[in-house]
Amino acid sequence: MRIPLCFLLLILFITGCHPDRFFLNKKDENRIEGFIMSHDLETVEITADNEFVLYEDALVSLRTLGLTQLVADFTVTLINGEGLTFYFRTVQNGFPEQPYIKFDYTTDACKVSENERLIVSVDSIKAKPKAPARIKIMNDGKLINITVDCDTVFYGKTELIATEFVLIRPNQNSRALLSGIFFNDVISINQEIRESIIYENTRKGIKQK
Amino acid sequence: MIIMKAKIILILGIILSTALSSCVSIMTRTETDVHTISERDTIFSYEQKNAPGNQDMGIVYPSSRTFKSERRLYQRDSIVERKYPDFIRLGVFESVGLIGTVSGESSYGTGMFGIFPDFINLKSDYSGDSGKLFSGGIYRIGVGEWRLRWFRDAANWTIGTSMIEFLIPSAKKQNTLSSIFPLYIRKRYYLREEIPYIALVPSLGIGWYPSQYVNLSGSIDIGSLGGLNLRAYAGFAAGLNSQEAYQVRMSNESDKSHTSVFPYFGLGISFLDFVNIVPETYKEWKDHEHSSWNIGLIQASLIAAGADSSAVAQNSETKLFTGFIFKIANASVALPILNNQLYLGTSLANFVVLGFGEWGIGILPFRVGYWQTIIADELSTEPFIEYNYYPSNFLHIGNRVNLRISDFLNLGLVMGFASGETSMGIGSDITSQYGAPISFSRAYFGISVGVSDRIFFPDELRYNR
Repeated sequence: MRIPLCFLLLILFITGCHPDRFFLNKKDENRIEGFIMSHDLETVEITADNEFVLYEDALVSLRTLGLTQLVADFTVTLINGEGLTFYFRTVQNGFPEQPYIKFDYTTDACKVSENERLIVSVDSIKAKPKAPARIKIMNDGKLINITVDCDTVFYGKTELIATEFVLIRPNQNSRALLSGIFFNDVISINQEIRESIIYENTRKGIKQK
Repeated sequence: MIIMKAKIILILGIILSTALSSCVSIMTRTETDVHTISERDTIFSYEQKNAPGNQDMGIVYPSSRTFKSERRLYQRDSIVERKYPDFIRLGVFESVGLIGTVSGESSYGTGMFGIFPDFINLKSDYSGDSGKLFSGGIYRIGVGEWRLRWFRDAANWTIGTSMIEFLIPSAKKQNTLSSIFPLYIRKRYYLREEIPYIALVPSLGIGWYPSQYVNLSGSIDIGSLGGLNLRAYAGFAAGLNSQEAYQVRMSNESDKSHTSVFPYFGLGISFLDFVNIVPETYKEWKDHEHSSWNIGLIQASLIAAGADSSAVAQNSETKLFTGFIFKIANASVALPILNNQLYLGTSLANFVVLGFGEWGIGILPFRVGYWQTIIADELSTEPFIEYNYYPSNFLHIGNRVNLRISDFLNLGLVMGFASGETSMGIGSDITSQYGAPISFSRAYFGISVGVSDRIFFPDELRYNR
């Protein structure tokens, strides 16, 4: 009995390795599946359950399976360098040949492009080295909304099809810490907002009486 | 007894076919992407209800025109599935003829590649002979290897197993080491990274039941091409057979456990054995390159050859079908000449039974044919000439028309002519069923079925891409 058991454990131990895949928020309903797309697996360092560091030349894709109408929520701390780039409404397979929306978060400005066609450039919103910033990217039907802290970088429509993926790549000589990463269903978030408004109105109505 | 054996082989074949056709999860990695397409529709409705009669236009009068705007959001998901091979190696059968495992009179005599034994010696009480070069053999059924991503994803490591493995150093049964699902760790150093691949492969294997053993080996692997591989081995195996192990109980020294330690050299061949390099596991199945017109596990034909006595219906009055053709582990590898339609083929075993007493067996026959597609994706024909040299000696010329039902199943019509004899001794198991072999020379026609038999069409061949 001991030999088969040891054998089974040995197999489980050896086959457990899959170094280019990782998971964030493992106990969360919207578990995030990550895939290191860069050839060098060392360019991505997972530091906590929803935190990782991207080094130069890293390219990582994140997704929650089946979730395309989402709010992707990141706290980004640029450790050094010029910034990083988010790609969404694209897919990991065949990237970058697939169409995409690109969001550049740099120390010069924030820019949004669709297939390398610049849509907007906002000089007033910039990345500050070593300062955390909350970046939210929303896919809601044809609507996209990108905010940095409470400032809106872009709020508008696109004809690109919504996908599950958000790809992140640091710029040259850049390194960034991404923490507080959550992918939430935009429909349930809207529902929560709607319910909170109804609750607030009801509460006010009671007070008015 | 013979019928029992045939039934067991048939059942094992069906189980193997079923296992092969259902092992998608160990063969295939499926990636799914969801794309959500959003469409917004806004419907504007204008309606004007004019009341009959005059209207008082002198004062501000409400219009009867109504306007309705209805907004709708349609979203639909488009799910894309991509399927990739998820193995480094997957094979049905591997055989190695071993040299230098034993000296003296207990050499098994498995022959070249371990598949050319003296058929007369294939009986349970055979205890070996002297003067045999290939004294033992290694046999593996259902071999699989998958990528092992350790040491920071170091290249070309694999972890593998097989459904069952036999390491046979001699004809002494108690020395045979065997295990179900032994664990193998291999590392490949590729000398050539184009099909057919050439690699140096050191490996470490551990068997655990019913024998407990370690098998250290190194090999030069060439393949795969049409599922065929050639290997040259050098290795060392050491293990233990306990008193309860079946090979000890079957031996004439069943009262004690046995250790078995032997170095070996060997020449091996494997059939339906497919090897991928890592970049191929990132290429979708539909884009994969194929080298063969046909690869299959079983091709069986029921034939009418006009023999005096039927080998399939000996007691029946109806003797339309007098024999059968049974081929195991076929490969028809396309040659990149004459529009790639010429092919070289072989099988692990080829049984051509024209009638009672009129039959021949071919191990690793040499076949040349011409593959002609008649209707793309469906109908093809393959005239061929086949030389069977061991243990029977016969020439077989024929044609097979194939109707592809699925990737797994084909139906067909066969016709041909076979002529030759079996001069070597054949075990009594076979001769009692199909008669003592006499020389034969007959034409035949019949119907055939291919199970786990994949036919490829011109656009799937790598030479046509």
